[in-house]
Amino acid sequence: MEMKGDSHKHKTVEPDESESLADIFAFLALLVRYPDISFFDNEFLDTLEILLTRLNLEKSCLKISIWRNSVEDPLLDAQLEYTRLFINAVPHVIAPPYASVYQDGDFSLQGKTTEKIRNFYRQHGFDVVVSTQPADHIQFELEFLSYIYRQGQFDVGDYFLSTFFVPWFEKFLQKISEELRHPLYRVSLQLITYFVKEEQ
Amino acid sequence: MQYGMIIDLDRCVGCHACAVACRAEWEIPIQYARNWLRRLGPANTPHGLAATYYPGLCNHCQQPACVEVCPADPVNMTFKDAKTGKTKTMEVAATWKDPFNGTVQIDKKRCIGCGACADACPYGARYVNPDLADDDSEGKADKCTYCMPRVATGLQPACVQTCLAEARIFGDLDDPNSNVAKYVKKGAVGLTSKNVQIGPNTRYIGNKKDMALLMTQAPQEMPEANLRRTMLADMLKPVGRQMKNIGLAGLAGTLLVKTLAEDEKE
Amino acid sequence: MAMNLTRRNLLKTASLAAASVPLSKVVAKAETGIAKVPLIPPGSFKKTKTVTGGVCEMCFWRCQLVGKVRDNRLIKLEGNPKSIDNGLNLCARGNSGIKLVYDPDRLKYPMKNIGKRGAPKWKKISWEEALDTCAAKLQATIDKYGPKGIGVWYHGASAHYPTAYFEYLGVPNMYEPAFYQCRGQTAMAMMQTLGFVPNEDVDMANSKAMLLVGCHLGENIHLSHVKNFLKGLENGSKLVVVDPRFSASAAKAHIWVKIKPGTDTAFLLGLMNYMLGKGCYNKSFVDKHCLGLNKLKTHVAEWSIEKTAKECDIPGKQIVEVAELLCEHAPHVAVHPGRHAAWYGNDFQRVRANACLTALLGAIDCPGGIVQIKRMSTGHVHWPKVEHEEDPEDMALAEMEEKYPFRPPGTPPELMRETMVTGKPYPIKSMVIWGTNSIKTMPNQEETMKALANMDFIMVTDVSPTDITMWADILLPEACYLERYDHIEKGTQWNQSDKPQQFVAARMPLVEPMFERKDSVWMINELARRMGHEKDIPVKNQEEFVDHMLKEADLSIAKLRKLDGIYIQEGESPYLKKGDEPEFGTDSGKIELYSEAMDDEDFPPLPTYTRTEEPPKGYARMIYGRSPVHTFNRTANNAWLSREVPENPLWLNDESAKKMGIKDGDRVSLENQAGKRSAGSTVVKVTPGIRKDCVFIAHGFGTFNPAMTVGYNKGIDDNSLNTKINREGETGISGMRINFVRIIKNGKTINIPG
Repeated sequence: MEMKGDSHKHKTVEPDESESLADIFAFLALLVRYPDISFFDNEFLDTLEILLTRLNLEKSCLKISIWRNSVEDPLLDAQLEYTRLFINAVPHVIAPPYASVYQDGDFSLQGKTTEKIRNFYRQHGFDVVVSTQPADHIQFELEFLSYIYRQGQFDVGDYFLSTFFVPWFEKFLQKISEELRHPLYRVSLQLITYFVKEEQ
Repeated sequence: MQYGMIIDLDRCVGCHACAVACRAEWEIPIQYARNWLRRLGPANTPHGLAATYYPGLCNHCQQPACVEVCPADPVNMTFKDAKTGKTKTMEVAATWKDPFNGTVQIDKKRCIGCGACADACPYGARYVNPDLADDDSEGKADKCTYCMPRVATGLQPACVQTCLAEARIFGDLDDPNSNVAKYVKKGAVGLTSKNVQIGPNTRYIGNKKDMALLMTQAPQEMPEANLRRTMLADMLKPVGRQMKNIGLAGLAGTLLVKTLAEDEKE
Repeated sequence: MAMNLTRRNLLKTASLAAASVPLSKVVAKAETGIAKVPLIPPGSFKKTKTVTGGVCEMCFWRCQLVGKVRDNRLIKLEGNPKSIDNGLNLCARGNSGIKLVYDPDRLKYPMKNIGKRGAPKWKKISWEEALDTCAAKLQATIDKYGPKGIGVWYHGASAHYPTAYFEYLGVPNMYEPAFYQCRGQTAMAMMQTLGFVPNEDVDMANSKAMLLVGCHLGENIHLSHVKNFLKGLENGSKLVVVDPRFSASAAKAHIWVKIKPGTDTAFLLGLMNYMLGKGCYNKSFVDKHCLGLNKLKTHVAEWSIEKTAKECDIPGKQIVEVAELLCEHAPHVAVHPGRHAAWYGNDFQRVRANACLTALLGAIDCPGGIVQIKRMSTGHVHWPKVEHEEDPEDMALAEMEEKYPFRPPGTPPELMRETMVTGKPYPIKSMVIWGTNSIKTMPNQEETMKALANMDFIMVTDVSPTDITMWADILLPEACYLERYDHIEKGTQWNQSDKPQQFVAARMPLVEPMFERKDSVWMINELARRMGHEKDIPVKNQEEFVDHMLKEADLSIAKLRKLDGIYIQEGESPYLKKGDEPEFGTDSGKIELYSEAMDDEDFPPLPTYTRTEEPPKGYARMIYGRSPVHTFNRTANNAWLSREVPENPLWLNDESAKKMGIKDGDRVSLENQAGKRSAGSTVVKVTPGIRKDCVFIAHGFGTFNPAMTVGYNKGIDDNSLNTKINREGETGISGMRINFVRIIKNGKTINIPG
């Protein structure tokens, strides 16, 4: 790994910027976490709507709003769709959200890529704890980015994005795109795409 | 010393364990293989109806066609005989034939991933492994090493260890007392043809009809060296990093952000 | 507009100031999966740890394994160096076990079907909710219909504890495909004739001749069994292979008998007639140990060389050649008992013929023959015996209908299926399906679907989303064989002429299960607790389950761990010592060439050949077998194995192909005699190595559940074309090789010339 976290190389970053970006990535991580009652409530969805409004994405915001009001139980609805897209489903699990599935060529969990990504976390002082999920789950990767940005390590975060995250996320999007009809997950993945966009 | 492998077709039952154990051992990308098995027949041969298998891998040839085409900048490299400790220094590109154990190896650090060696091998034993891409290449040449890292720790090659039929025998062909040398005496031969005679050190033995069927798999012509490709690869070396960056920058933010924008327009 | 900003610039705009969007408040509420830990120096994880104690279940031969684990990630599986069975070797499937562990399509959490059976919509639920539902539904069935209202389909080692529990509940009908679609007749007919079940304990390594009838070792890879076979060849044993196809075994044979499909029994009777006529059978053995020689002699007298040759469509001199060869080497002849025997619906009689031939050669308990291998014994875990209002034994369907007196354990599947549809003689309204893809294993899939549609409740436990899981109301994810404790493997050194040794190995996990996968002991205990049977739970957890079984051998998990997973002790040779007499567990204590018991039940008491139906004009018989890298459909979704053998080429005779205008590599599908077409397609292998009256495909391909993303729709599913079955009266087992196919190429149907 080339990144050794030479601190002098870090771009100077305003504290506010670092905190905001960290919060955004933490929020993105929640969007791709299995929805459960511990966080998935009205406040969460309100926040999503506010975020979309602030980004001038009024129509996306409206979609979320319409969806929330049209289903009896948004949590259950989100759970069903999450299960179908990411866990198990018929006709098939649409897109398992793990890097190795897309990067290692044999459609497998816990591949070489998983090991590489976990090692990258560790080199920067983080690890996945208390989980029976592989370390390269999209949620963990976004959480890692959140922590890294909170520490102001923008170059580490950007390196992780371009080297680890974007290459598989792109393939993941291709696999999921045709099935991405649910407003919540359509907008969520669009938001992630937006925030991992490379600086030009 | 010349490492070699014998594959005894009288014993092989075509179970594919060799290919899969190799894949597990070296975490080979699914689209490639260092070890492969082709199921041949049942088909008529001059000696009768036959069905057998072609378990293939790098032949670590006496005159390896892959070595001479490597365009990487040559360096001086010192080799050491594992047994005697004797050393020898020679000028090599990024792939070479080891002067002591006779295996053909690749320096992944210096390989530029041009694929010239893969093109030059008449057996198709090499591939460019995209998993090994670095800042300067799209991948690195890769192939069977005769499991030298395993052998160095006293283990058998992965394919040999897993073979339930004991159809794969590994050892030093130069040692007349070795099993492999005995098999050569009994008539084990490499997969060669009139125009392809580069001294393969992976050899096969079996009854006449099975061998007749196997020999249909021998390459009939040496591949023509793709000089243009080699030169191109050489020229492109310094700009590799730059090209890769352009590729990456183009990845994110195109596909779905566009849809997001379009969604907004609806 | 925001779309044109990069995220960094965006953050600098006032619109996203932390205060204006309450992000931090929301994200702070949720616990995250990532936490700061001390930096581990890079490189320390590169070394792998060897974990011992694995017992393979990629097939059911159960080789002993070790795992190479790095950072809790299983990198590679290898044979356990201590193994005296498979040794360091593993087959392709064994090597591919990690791809099963890490298959992203595997079941991960308990799920509830809130859609329809067959077209499910899955909701991830908690174990609590899943078990509460299963307990309530099963109890409701028992309350309304009694325990006989529940049916169980099961397979594999993890189902042992669950079936013991359902037995305790008084469930009378359980079905296991290992018997009813595979080995049932082999076991029962051997039992009826020899008084013991030899399984595949046949000493090929030390034989002087081997006879394989429809048995294709090499395509069927059971590791130490194939080693045994190859050792025989290495030792110069003469191999006879009787098969309509030039199989992997036939390719190594000294004599290939290219027999007409379905006539194997006639061939065996012809061999016996020749031997009895010539008097070249093993007289001293037969005189001493067999009952009914004269009756057999009279019975087979009609099978002259000429008649046999004509019936089997083989040269008469080949029959003589085989008979002479076997007699010359008697008793050191390995007459393979076979494994999968459910061929034509007259298979009990064929296995009887096979057993009688073995007896005529005296090839029992001697080098080269069928041997009674002496394994260590271990215990069983039982639930307490309880009285039921209705005795489950009397309520078993086969018993009530007085059918199939020679059936293997359990209820014949079609009998259970009929009851599920008709409700007669009593309703079966809840199904427990444990680790078996019954949609695939039972012939006539439409009937199975109809039966399942009729249920009040269906609970399915599996490792992967196999086809049957689509019919579950509650679907439970099970830990796979590398993540759990269960089976105890017992055996000996693989070559019986080597120093006798016995071993015991218990399946122990090599890695922790991921997600919320659980083992069967945990699941059943939780279910039992909810159904009010807590006080009768015999073992607390899977470790205790295994320890309990090991106790009889004075072993434990702790002891086995210290011994690298395998306990080995001095054994006993299976060969009879001089002066010892063999013992047979039949009623008479002798080998029953003539079976009184069969006569009593109105079945032919002497092995009898019945002709099987001929293919109609334009069709060829579809015969099926194994692919060396797949275990039925179970491995179809394994990325490594699918890469090695992605589909099942259709073997077609070269001369027929020429007449049909079909070339090697053409893509075709199949249509059977009833007009049923295969969903998938495959490539043609044009070969002189198969007869004209049949085509061959390997079984287990053409997965139709799209959740199995690797295996989905690759190749042709032979079973989907088995719309016709022939159930035999002795066992209730259905023969499946009575279906006929023609070829569809580019949408056009092409007849196969006979």
